[in-house]
Amino acid sequence: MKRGFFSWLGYALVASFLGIFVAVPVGLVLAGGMSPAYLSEVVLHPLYRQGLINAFTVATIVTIGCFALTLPLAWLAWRFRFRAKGLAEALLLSPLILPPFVGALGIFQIFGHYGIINTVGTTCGWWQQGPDWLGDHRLALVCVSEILGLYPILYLTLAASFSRLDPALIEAARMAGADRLTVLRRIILPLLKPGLFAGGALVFVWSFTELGTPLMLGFDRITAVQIYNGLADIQSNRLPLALVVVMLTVVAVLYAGGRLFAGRSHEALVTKGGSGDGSQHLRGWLALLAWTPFALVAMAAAAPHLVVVTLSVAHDWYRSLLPSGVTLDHYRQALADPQVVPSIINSLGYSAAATCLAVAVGLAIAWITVRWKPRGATVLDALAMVPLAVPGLIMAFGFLGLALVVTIAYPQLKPYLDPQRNPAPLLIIAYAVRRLPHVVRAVNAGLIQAPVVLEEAAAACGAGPFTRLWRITMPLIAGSLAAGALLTFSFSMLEVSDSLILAQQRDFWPITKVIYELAVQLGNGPALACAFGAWAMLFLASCLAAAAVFLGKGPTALFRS
Amino acid sequence: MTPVSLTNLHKTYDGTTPVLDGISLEIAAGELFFLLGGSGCGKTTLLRLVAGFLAPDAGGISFGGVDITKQPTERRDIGMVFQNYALWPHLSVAENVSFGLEVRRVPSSERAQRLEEALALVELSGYGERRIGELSGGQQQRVALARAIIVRPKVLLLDEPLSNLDARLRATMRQEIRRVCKAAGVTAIYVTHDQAEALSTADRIALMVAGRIEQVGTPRELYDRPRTEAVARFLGDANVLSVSDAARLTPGAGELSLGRSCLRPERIRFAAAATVGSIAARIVSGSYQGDRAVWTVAVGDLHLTVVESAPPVRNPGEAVFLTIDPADLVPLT
Amino acid sequence: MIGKLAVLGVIVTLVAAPVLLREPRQMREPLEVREPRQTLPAASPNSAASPALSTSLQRLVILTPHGADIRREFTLAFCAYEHHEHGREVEIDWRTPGGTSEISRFMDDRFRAAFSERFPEHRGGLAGFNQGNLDEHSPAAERAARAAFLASDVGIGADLLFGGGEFAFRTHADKGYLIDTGLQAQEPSWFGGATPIIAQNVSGETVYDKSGRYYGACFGVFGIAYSPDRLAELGLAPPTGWSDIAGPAYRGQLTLTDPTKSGAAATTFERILQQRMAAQPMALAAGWADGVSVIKRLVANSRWITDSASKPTRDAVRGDCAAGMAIDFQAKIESEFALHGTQAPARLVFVVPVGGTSVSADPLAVLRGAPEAQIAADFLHFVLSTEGQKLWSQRLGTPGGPQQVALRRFPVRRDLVGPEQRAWRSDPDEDPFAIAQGFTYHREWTGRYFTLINTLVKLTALDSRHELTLAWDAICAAGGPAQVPEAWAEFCWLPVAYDEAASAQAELDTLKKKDPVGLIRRQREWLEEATLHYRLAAALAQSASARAEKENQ
Repeated sequence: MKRGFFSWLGYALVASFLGIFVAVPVGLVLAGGMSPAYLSEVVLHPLYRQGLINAFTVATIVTIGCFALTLPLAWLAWRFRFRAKGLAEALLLSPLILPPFVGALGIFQIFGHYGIINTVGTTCGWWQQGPDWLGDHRLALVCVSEILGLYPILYLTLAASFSRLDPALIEAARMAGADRLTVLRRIILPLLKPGLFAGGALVFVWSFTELGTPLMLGFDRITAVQIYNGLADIQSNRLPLALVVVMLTVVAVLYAGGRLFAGRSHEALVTKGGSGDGSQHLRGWLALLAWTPFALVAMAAAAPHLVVVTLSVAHDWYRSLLPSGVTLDHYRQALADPQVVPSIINSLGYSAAATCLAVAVGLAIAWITVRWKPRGATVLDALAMVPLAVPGLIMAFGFLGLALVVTIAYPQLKPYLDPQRNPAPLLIIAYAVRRLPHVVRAVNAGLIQAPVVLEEAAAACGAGPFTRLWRITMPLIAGSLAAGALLTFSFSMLEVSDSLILAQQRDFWPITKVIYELAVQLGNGPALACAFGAWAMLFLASCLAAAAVFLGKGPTALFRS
Repeated sequence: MTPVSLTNLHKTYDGTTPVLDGISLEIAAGELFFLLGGSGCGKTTLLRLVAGFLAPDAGGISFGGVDITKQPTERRDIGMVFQNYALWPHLSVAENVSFGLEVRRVPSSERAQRLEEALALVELSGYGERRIGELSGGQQQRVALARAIIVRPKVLLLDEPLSNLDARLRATMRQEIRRVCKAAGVTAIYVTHDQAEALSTADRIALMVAGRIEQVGTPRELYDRPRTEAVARFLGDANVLSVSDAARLTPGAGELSLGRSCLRPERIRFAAAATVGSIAARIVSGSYQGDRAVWTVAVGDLHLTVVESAPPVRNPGEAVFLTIDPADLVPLT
Repeated sequence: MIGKLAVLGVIVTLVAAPVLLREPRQMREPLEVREPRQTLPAASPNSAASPALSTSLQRLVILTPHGADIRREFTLAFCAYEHHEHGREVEIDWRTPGGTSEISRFMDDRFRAAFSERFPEHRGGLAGFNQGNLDEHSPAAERAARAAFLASDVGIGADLLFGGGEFAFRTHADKGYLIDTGLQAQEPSWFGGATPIIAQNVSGETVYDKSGRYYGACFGVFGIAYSPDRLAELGLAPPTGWSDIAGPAYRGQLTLTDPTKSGAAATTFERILQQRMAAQPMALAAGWADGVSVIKRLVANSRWITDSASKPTRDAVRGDCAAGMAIDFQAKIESEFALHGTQAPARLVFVVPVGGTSVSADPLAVLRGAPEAQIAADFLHFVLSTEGQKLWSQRLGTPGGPQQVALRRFPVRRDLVGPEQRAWRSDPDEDPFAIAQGFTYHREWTGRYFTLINTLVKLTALDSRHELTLAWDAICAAGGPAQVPEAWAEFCWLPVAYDEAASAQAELDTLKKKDPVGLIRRQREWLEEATLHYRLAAALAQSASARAEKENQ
């Protein structure tokens, strides 16, 4: 269909947004690191070589672990129906709302020398004192932590892939005489291949660029942490930027490879209605059996956070299985702390604004790449995906550089773009850009599943482009839009790296920064951080529950693209 | 009542593969005009050009003398019925049907009345509040039809609207569509690959092959007087004869044509015995279909298809006599 | 419907709780930004519609890295003091952009912006306005800018800088950000005499700037914090000094702070070097090498090297490490908190390492261009007076002491550490001046080599930690350094001897300016060399062990 003036205007606006807020920050960082001298140092230097090897190792282990965890669960959820399945899946996805660095407080309590595991072991007589988990087994802890934090993303991807399988294809195979295993191997897995590759690439990249987990567990011989550690000195030593270039290259190759294997963006297999979705109903103890793996995994993932909640009401917890007393004082004190209310207002404001921005831009990009497909649409799509690959700190750092460049050229913009003065605009844009890939993917999937012919029919009825978008397309992709908006909102409320770098003035601190500051205070600081962290988790959970209730959808459907 | 004029339309995909190669058509006002052809012949592309979903590389389209080639779809004042109905799942039947009126800002009282009329026309009165998911295939197609005609479009476009229905329903719906179109008095362009559909429903048919129009005419004209072999073979069975074959089959008729000719199977008669002008032949095989039989008959080494109604039993290898009227040989170009 | 109401109810309660629980106004630290002053940030999103400032309420803006406890105590005490002494209603607006380095960057940025706004004609010399080392070879524009700056009252809208390292304050003073309020002339009795109440120099460290631009407000001591429970498990006696925790018994038991990330840790490591060099003042090179070997062993004994200066304390009180390097007041506060008011045995004990630490001052200063210069000078005066100094060291509930939390720091005034105040002090048995007597800081020994020391520690200990630890383990398994002198020599290898320190430092400086890639390459070479030496050390020690085993069979 012909595109008018407003379409091209929208295209120009979106392209400018991506150009200024994605391409330029990353470009600034890359330009700094693209020197052959630095790059060769990265390869020659034993520390950085080891860092890259470790990053690959961790990412590989984490990806395999996530698959081992989620593939059976996704298959279970697809194959069977059982009571409260929605609840099981919601619990499984709980890590999406659990801030990882709040979990760190819990991890120390679990794995510390006098922590829960060692105390259990000593009581049961397994050992005299227990190993130094945090000291000697850091790599394993990092991998386990990341697996338990990243598996929900893979689960969502796999669940969506499974749901697109046409049961008729499997029935045909079964009738041809194939047994269950053969069906799995020859029919199901090949059909799932695009989803598997896409999900696997995503998990690998996230793990490869993950900073928070190795940082808080003190595992600093890994590329992301090496970059972070070098940032303070960046003016004099540009080497971390070269590391960033290497990291981004690896990620780009992985994504390109993933896309290649995943095949072209495919139209959804439209299932003819009537024969049902082919799932089997489980009753009684079988249902319980099906429930168990979900519950176990969810508990393992949420364990650190459950410990955090316990810590928040604990009077004292030292060398014992359970805390020695219960008190609500921490909550009283934490929530009364004068930093708390402003940070809540800040976080809500930033997250809400970022969500609106991300949804608007993401919708435009998805529509341009899926429906319109003009020249340069693939470039827009690629740019929109860049924030997935670039470690959070690099983007934040790039934003700082961008602010500097712009305010030097246009000093009148200083009050708006200088993070020293008012980081709000930068923070909002940073959050929105960071979540843009998720919104675009969600809306992409929604648009692909909403056939073009429905919009053509509207055009044939005389509806112009805006009417088509508003009355036909938007309602059809409302689910995807809501999913993208929710993901953006919840991630923004819990965002760490941008907040730490850009919110430099106390007045502008979001929730995460306040929790972080509380956690490193002496005395009851960690307990206060746990209390505020528990509050934040509960708040986020309620927001998501509200969204689910008001949209009338189950929790997975909310996040399912 | 708007005539449609297509002038020398060209369309290629990727600049290399030509899909439409110089299509020109004049469709009369109020005509139920069919575009017939096999898959890949370009009929759907042509329809989408008329709809405005695609732009031609060259050539023009006009409705009632007005050139609408550059107009976007929504301004062409058309109605369209899609192959898989394209009903909006989040709207009710009434909302689907009256969507076009809403977009045109027709006042709600008039809208309600026209909705009633449209639903009555497709015999779905009272279905207004139903959800799309509750309807059967045939009902959905009728809703789609109602939605397309309620706006009183200049031109109605139908893209293989019946191919998702079962055979029985198809037969009924064909007549429904014809009735509704004639009642509404709208010019309609109908795309199909089903020759029975075209022959039974169309006012005129354009048969398309590989991006070109082979022949335009009424169903009878196309069936009885096919101009090319492609047309002959597409519409029903055809015996395509070379000059020598034709001469052999019509002894004593003299030179009939300079080229190949088409002979319809039902025009070949069995003679009880050898008569003047009859030809000796042998039954090769046959397929009994109740009301008729389709025989493969050999005249020498030439195999012919013969259709006989109320057929007696004939066994393979049996000797028979055929009578062929030279007038039944249609010359082909 | 019920579901919707329930969920909404939960959200409303959650949001209401902090609002309702917020501390009432008079106790609250004033956080809302009123009308923006000069170049300070514009009103934050959370400032309520603020009432107009009454003219009698004056506001002091103080930049600080200090935590909430110190801020609260000084707010309460100073505001009460001003009310009683001068009848003034004063309010303090604390600005906490972050730690010492964040504040330094903040000040650089703001002073630069303020200077360019006030003196657009000096834009050309902007690079030099805060350079203290300009000479006749420097560009004239820069010298002019510098002169203009020093003669002006260009300010950043803040009155005082309260807290940070002495090194940072010296830098700020050199840049011209800090001014002299004439305190020494105002209170000669404090600063004059043979043993002044406030000494200018303690154990070689500066307490206050001779030109009066900054003054130490309290003392801090760097030492060792340990967990008695862990030591009991290991069967070890409490450590008394650095060499104890650098010994074989503490392998894998320490938490250390990375000196390249923390000024406090860097200071501590420098003091370790100084201690060793003071033991052999005639052979400084040997002392230097000895000191570096102590540092290496500390690193080899570590289970965790962290950025945060307080993590060793937190690890020790939780029992995650047996011992770590700590700052005195942090360890004391943490230890007291862990008791939860009971008489239980302490979970954390702080030890001043014998002969190996100095006493460092934590200064404050009035900023150039302070909007409320008079009140700022009053605050400075207050902090150094007995009323202000009592807040640091006295117990809760004592007259003149803190009202909510004991701060556990040492005052700089000598007249507060005497026997008269014993009953009121939190740590009556500790005397910073006595501690300081055991150690003298000789700036000329190591002060110039700050970057070199950091680089050495980074390359020969931190970055090569893996091989270092293996070598140390092998040496310990072989019975100790005395049993395997060759391995020990390899372990103690240094790329740069003390005598070469000056030239090495110069080389590093030059590379940093002219050839950053070359600097990295040089560092890599040192790292690879160090790794080789440590591998050799491990191999030698292991073969010596194997030989000894065979002989014993």
